[in-house]
Amino acid sequence: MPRLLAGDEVLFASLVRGWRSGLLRLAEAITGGSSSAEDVVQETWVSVMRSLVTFEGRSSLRTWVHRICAHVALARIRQDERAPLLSDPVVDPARFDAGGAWRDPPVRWTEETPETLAARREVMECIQRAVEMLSPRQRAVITLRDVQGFSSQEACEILGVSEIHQRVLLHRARSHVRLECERFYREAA
Amino acid sequence: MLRCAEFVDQVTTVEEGVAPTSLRLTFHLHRLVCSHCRRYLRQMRAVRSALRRHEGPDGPGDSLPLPDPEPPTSAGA
Repeated sequence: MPRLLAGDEVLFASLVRGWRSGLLRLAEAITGGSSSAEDVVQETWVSVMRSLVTFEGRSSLRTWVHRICAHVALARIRQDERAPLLSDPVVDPARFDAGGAWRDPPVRWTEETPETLAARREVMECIQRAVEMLSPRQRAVITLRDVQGFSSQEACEILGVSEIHQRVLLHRARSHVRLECERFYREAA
Repeated sequence: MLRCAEFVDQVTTVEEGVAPTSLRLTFHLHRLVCSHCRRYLRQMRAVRSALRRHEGPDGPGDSLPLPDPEPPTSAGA
């Protein structure tokens, strides 16, 4: 930090290069993969340079920079889905009987281990499409948590949401991606 | 006893490790007796892991990336 505050351009350039792909992925997740993701990342670094003196070190610098990126990206999209839809079930209620037991249970997938699933190109394309269909905040959470490996606490800090809100967004995102995979296997059967 | 419909609703809470003990116990008991919910959980975990494998970890992690090394200077110059 002292080197950055002292204007160490070599270190700053190294950060810009090193975190570029992660920031771009987060910006794309929120903006829906639009071309403005590059602009978001640039604006992020401008904001970082301006705000560096205010960084208090309560989170890691990486988390703080990602948080600024999320704010910049969220400011560019319509803010019409701030609240998670807590009431919507993640699995169609018609798939359960009156007692809550499966009436239409999950279909068997030919690949159900991470290794075999990740090795099948069509399934990975299906997963990619499913992520693209999510709301911006759901996409942001699943990208941070499951793609980039941020912790729950870090994702909350980056997106400025509560732990419960983050978990609901994650639950809905993961459930949706699983459902789309299930549709893929049903159609393939 | 937890029902299947509740199992799918609580799966992330339990997997995130934030479920109260009573829910965690009933969740695992249900998993023992319900093959459909075992499959549901297996598929959720497989999708999560596939997402991680798809993209791979991002660059330098929490540590600051080191600047590019200086070009070597010719010895004895």
